[in-house]
Amino acid sequence: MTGWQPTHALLRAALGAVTVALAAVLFGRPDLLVLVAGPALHAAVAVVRRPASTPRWRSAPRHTSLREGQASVVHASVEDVEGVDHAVAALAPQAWTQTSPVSGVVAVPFSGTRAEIDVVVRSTRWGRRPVGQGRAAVWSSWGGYRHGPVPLASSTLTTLPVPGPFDATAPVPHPLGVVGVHPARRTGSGSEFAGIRPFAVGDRLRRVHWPVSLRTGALHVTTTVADEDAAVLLVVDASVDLGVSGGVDDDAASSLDVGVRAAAAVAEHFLREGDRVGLRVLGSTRHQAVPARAGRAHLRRLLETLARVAPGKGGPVPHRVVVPAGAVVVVLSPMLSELAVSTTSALARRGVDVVVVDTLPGDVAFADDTRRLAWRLRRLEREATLSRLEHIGVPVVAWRGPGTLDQVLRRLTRRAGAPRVVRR
Amino acid sequence: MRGLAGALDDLARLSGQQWALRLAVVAATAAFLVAAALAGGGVPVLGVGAAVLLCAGSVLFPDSAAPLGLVLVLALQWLVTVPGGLGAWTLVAGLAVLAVHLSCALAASGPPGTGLDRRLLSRWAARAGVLALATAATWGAARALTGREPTPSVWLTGLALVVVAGAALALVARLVAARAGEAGQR
Repeated sequence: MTGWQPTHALLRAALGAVTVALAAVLFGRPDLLVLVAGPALHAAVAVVRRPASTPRWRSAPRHTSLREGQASVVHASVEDVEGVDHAVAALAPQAWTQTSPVSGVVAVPFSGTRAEIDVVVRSTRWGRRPVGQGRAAVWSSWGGYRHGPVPLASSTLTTLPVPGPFDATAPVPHPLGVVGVHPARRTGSGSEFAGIRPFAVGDRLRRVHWPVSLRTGALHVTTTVADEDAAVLLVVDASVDLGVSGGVDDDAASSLDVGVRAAAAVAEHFLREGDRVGLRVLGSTRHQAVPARAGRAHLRRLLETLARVAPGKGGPVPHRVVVPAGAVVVVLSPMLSELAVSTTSALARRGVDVVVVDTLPGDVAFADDTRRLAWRLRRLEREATLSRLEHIGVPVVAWRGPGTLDQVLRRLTRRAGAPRVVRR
Repeated sequence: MRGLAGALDDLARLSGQQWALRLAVVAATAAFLVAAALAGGGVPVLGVGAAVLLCAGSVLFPDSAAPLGLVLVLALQWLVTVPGGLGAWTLVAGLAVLAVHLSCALAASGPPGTGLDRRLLSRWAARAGVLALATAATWGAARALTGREPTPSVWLTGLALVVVAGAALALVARLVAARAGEAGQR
């Protein structure tokens, strides 16, 4: 409804006063006039104070990107209107969004010809959601007329996942970059001791190993293992989302919550180490692939891609996942979809180092017996799948934060030195 | 008008301030009924029943025609049951009607969860004071005039009718002009 409309209060005051005043006159009852004297004066003042100009609303969130648990403000303002009392803005409730006040309704009086309203919004789960949806209205002086409610402009708020705690001390199997912190297979100017060999032209004098040189009578130098960066490809399975998500304030997390936050944690860790990290999302969103890059800006890009993940949207099935040379592939999945299992198997058969991080939450429960039985059968099937994956050389570990990947990365590094037959 | 289920949902979302305003409607209605009884009107079952029903409607739907119905029923009950006169209970009844009206007006000035700013409440408190003074002034004037001339004259009645009708016409004309202006702008 647009334009200034008389409120029920004005109609009540006017009609009530006129009706009762007529009765007072007709029946000669001045006491009836006393009953409606107040409302009559209210109606008269409200009509006289009717505003002439049309209010113009503007609204926008202060931030369009937040981390889980962070808060921002939706700012709405109305201006260029005189003779008004107060403005009210009411934000529509949104999933995973808390408002302050809890009702999302804020009423403020006008100061001059302008009123400004701030509603605090806090996002409790990663993802992209509309923010600022709601309606607003303005009441004239003495509450006689109302303009609105009019819809407020809506924007999209991107909530980036908060990386869970993660740390890895084990080296990655195939560092093949230029500079980094992982000991490579070749010798070079690193810090880790590799061996001692006779001096050759071009060797630096500071690398001369004097005890061995004196004992043998010929110059010998120490050699070190080159430090190189590694590539990690994260594959997030979004085709299934199992369990209940309680948001960032709750311990309850769905499988996709665990997967997305774990992917963010692993990406943040390896990017901080100077490695290159890529991302592939199975079964979701248009932005399914982010090539492996290094740097802080790349972390932002990865987090924004993770925030766009929508569960079970059934995106195109990848024919072949492109894996950077020497990369370790970390598949984050509850391994309940055919897509995730077949992609993981195909990668392992190509000779790629693949690690599966099991993101199935432990508290999945169903109320009725039939579903509980079906889920038990599905779990047995899943156990068989995981056994098959381990049989073809894919380690499976449950996500437990720091140290999750240490043991499997060490095992993969040891295995990388041994000869093997692969199908390409 | 929204359904009863929607109204009950709204009740669950009411802010503390909205609860206070709606309780004020109930309290003012009760005060009016007590004043009417003490002014000699007794306790008419039909009138009290209708007032209670409309009071409940006003609490659930303050932004509707229910409060208008409540005001009219209260006035009708006063007209029918109270023998007349301008005792102190008349003033109490007038203030109670004003309280019903203003409480409903404030309760309807936003969605159920609205919490009105303190500056706004103090502004409305001042307005309520002005309107209460007007009610008291009307009561005082009526008492003074009634003392001088107990039986209203035909001329005075005609003059009052002309004034009331003129005020109503002016009000309606202004409302119609306002709506026409809005339509022209659109």
